[in-house]
This record gives sequence, structure tokens and C-alpha cells, in this order.
Amino acid sequence: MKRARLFAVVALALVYAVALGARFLAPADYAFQFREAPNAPPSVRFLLGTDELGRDRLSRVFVAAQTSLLLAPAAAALSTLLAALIGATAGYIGGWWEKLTMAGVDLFLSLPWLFLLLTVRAVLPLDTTPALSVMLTFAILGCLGWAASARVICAGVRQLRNSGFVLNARALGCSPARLLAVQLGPNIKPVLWAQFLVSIPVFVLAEANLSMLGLGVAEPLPSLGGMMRELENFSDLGSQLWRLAPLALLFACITAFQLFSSSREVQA
Amino acid sequence: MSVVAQRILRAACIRLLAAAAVVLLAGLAGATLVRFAPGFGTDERELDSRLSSESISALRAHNARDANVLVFYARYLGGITHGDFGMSRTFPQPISQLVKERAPATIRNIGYGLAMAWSLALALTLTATAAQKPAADIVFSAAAGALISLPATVIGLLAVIARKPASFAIAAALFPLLYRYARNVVQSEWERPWIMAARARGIGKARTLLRHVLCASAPQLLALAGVSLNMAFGAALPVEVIADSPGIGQLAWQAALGRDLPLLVTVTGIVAAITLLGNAAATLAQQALQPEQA
Repeated sequence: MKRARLFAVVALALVYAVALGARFLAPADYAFQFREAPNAPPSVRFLLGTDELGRDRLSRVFVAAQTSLLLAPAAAALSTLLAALIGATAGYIGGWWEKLTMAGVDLFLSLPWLFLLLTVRAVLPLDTTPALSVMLTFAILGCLGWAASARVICAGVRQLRNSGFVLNARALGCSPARLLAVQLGPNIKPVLWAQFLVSIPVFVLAEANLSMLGLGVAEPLPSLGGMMRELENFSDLGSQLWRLAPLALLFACITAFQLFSSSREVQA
Repeated sequence: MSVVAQRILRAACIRLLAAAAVVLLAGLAGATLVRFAPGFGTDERELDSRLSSESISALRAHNARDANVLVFYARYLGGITHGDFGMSRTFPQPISQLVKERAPATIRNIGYGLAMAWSLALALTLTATAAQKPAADIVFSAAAGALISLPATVIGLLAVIARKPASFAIAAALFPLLYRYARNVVQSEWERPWIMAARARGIGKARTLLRHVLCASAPQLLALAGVSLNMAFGAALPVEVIADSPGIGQLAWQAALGRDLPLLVTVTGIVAAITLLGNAAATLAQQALQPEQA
């Protein structure tokens, strides 16, 4: 497990280094069209060829990695924050408030979230810029993905609430705010961290699904899902395997995240 | 009626009320979106130069019936009780008719998909548990891990390339989720002391697994069965779009692209009600199996 985790950490560090430096590492602007070379095969000039509009695929993969892999953790942070607020409050207060909150969480978990996502995404104005569309896509993902984490956090806080050291702190007159911040907060941190890590690949995949359906990140800004729309024209995919580059990167990243988060879960 | 039966009945009523509340809320959300959508209350027939001013006035008077929001809500919800969800803006048809036309394809896709995914997940879970060999677990877990790392749209695309039906792609998208959970549940039951005692007394692996481990795991697997319906709808949407299967998922996608909010909200509400009822049925079955927790 340790070796797998090490491999996952190295792979993710490498991908994130490339994603962070995408604008500097990209050989060309991701939106620039080399109109003399549409659908070009890999060459010294275009290492992964060009797309049907003549845009350098390698540059677009770099920027797509930046879009998908940097904003998914932001969405995961938002959903974990919401889950922590809702779950910790319910777990700490307990009683009817916890029952009510958990009933709401159960209801939310039962909803078909991809259908909800489509509904919320379709309400957005038509004239949103690509940058705004990417922000909104991940913000919606973050706002809709908190329920499962809230349940876990609530269970964790409930367990801690009844533990000896919390009862002791209460008996010594510790205020609820201080109790949450100083006593419960640090102890619930591993749960929050695990939930955060588990959420990242879920959001990367959700964005990929939405973008492949044409409802995610708007063109010309690339995302891994958006770039995979090229695969829908699969008739000549066998002779143009370089078009699989965004899928290969996505697959590698999700696998690495799974290896990393599963080992973290074991540790937590 | 026994106390346990009363509790189960109470739980069933609460679940049904929750499903009804979701449908009501979806109806209200749909009504709000329709009411405040651009162009509400206008009729393209008003542009017809052949119509007299009296006819246009009559059209306007007819449309003005819905100017009052409360009257509009009442009319909209009244329509829902009669199965009338209004008209689609993308397709010139009533929404209820569209749903009726598309539902069979989705029921077929999800039904076969769930059956295949559950059969495979349970078969591999039982094989891995019976074998108790790391190699089998590694191979099955690696296959599940590989499938879970692919978006459902890509799995749908692979099914299209392989000329497999949409239900096959739904099964492939569901299998890893079901296998991982079922494997953990069955393995933890397998390690219980009474199972070890049964094996020590010479009861065969197959009998231990099927008659003792599976029965003990049934409540948790039933809970997973309820959730798997929701997961199946989630997988059906992208798969139906990619595989061009004319189901509810494809309808929702077309509505989203055409910004047909009434249709989209209605479809979401119907799917939510179905998944809530599925979850309720699974919970009730679980409570019937474990009456002490009801």
C-alpha cells in the first residue's frame, strides 16, 4: 500500500506541477488556430498533433489539466466546508436538530444529482464567458456534493461529543464555540481531510461528464471533459491514438487520487 | 398489528410523504421557472395579421388568466394531479406524453443494467470471498478501479464502439461501485466469529456463503440496492446521450440544451420521486429483515 501511495503522490505531484505551470510550459496559446494545420498528426512542431480547428493539442491538454485538476479541489473544499458546517452543527447539537438535518441529508442523497446539475446548469445565462462558466460549473458541483460528507462528519462529531475529554471540557465551562474550535475541530480534521480527498475525483469525473455532454466548461477554454468530446468521432480513433491523451491523463489522475485517498482513509 | 409492523407502517408513510413533498416542490419550482421565463403570457398567434383585433383581445384575455402567480400555481399543481405537466418548449408536445414515450427505453436500460451489474458484482464478491486469495481480489479490484476511473460518458462511448446496448454501459458504470461495497460487507461478515465457527464445524464454503454470510449481509445489501437505483439514473443520463438511446436521460439532456426548464424540472421531479420510492422500499425491506432496528 505504501508503494502504491508513493507512486500516486509522485504522479499527482508531477501532474499538478505541469497544471500550475501550464501557461509557461504550453508551446502555443490554447486558443490559437494554426489554420494551415488542422487535424495534424504528432510532429516536432505539434507533439500531440492539432485538433480540427488547428489548435495545438499538447497546449490544450496542459491548460485542460489546469482547469479540471485545480478547480476540482476548490469545489471539493467548498463542499467539505458546507458539509463540515452542516454535519458538525447537527452532530454537536444532536436531538431533533440532528434528526431533521440527517433526514434532509437522506433526501438530498436520494435525489438524482446529475439531473439536478443539468437543471441548475441550464438556468445559467447564455452569455456567460468561458472563465465564468468554469467557475460556475465547479461552484455548482461544490454546492451539490456536500450531503454524503455531512453524514460522515455528523457521525464523527456525535461520537466525539459523547467522549470523555469533551465532557470534561464542558464540565470545566468551555463555551460551545471554543469546544468546536479547540476540542472538536482538530479531532475531526482527519475525517474532513479524507472527505476532501474522496470528493476531488468525483468532481473531476462530474465535470468530465458534463463537458462531454456540452454542458460544462464553455469553448474555447479547454477542460479534460471538453477535450474528450473529440472522441465522439471515433471512426478513425484507431489510427489517431494521440487523441486519447486527455482521457489517458484523466484516467491516470483519478487512479492516482483513488490510491492516495484510499490509503489516507486507512490511515484516518 | 404488532409494534414492529406499526413502526414499519409509520416509516412507510413518512417515506411516501417525503416523495410527495419532493414532487410538490419540483412542481412549484417548475411553475416558478415557467412563470418567470422570458415570453411568458405572450402568444405567437398575436403576430398573425389575419386575426382581428377582437380575436387578439380574446387571446390576451385567455393568457391573462395566469397573470396572478397564486392562480397560476394552483392551476399548475392541479394539472400535475391530473398528470398534466404542461407543454414542452423544445418539443411541441405535452410533457406527460414525452415522458410516457421515453420511459420504456429508460426502464429497459436501467432494469437490464442493474440486473447485470448486481449479478456480476455478487458473483465476483462471492468468488473472491470463497477463494480468499489476494490474487483474485487484486484482479477484481483492479477491474473495478479501472472502470471507476472512467466517466460514464466514456463507458457509453466504449459500449457504442463495441456495439453493445446502453444497458451494458450502465452495468459497467455501476459494477465497480456495487462490487466495492458488496465486497467489504460480505468480507466483514465472513470474518465474524459465528461464520468461523460454522466453517470449523465442517460446513462447506458454498453453504456458509449462501445460507449464512449472504443472509447476514442482506440488510446492508438491500440498502445498497435502494441507492443503486439512484446511481443507475445518474449513469443512464450520459450513457443514453452517447448511445443515442431515446430514454428519459436523453430527454433531460435535450431539455437542458434547449433550456426547456419546465420539461427539465418535471423530468428531474419524476426521477427524484422514483428514486425516493426505491430507497423507501429498500429501507422498509431492511427494517422488515431487522425488526429490532425498525
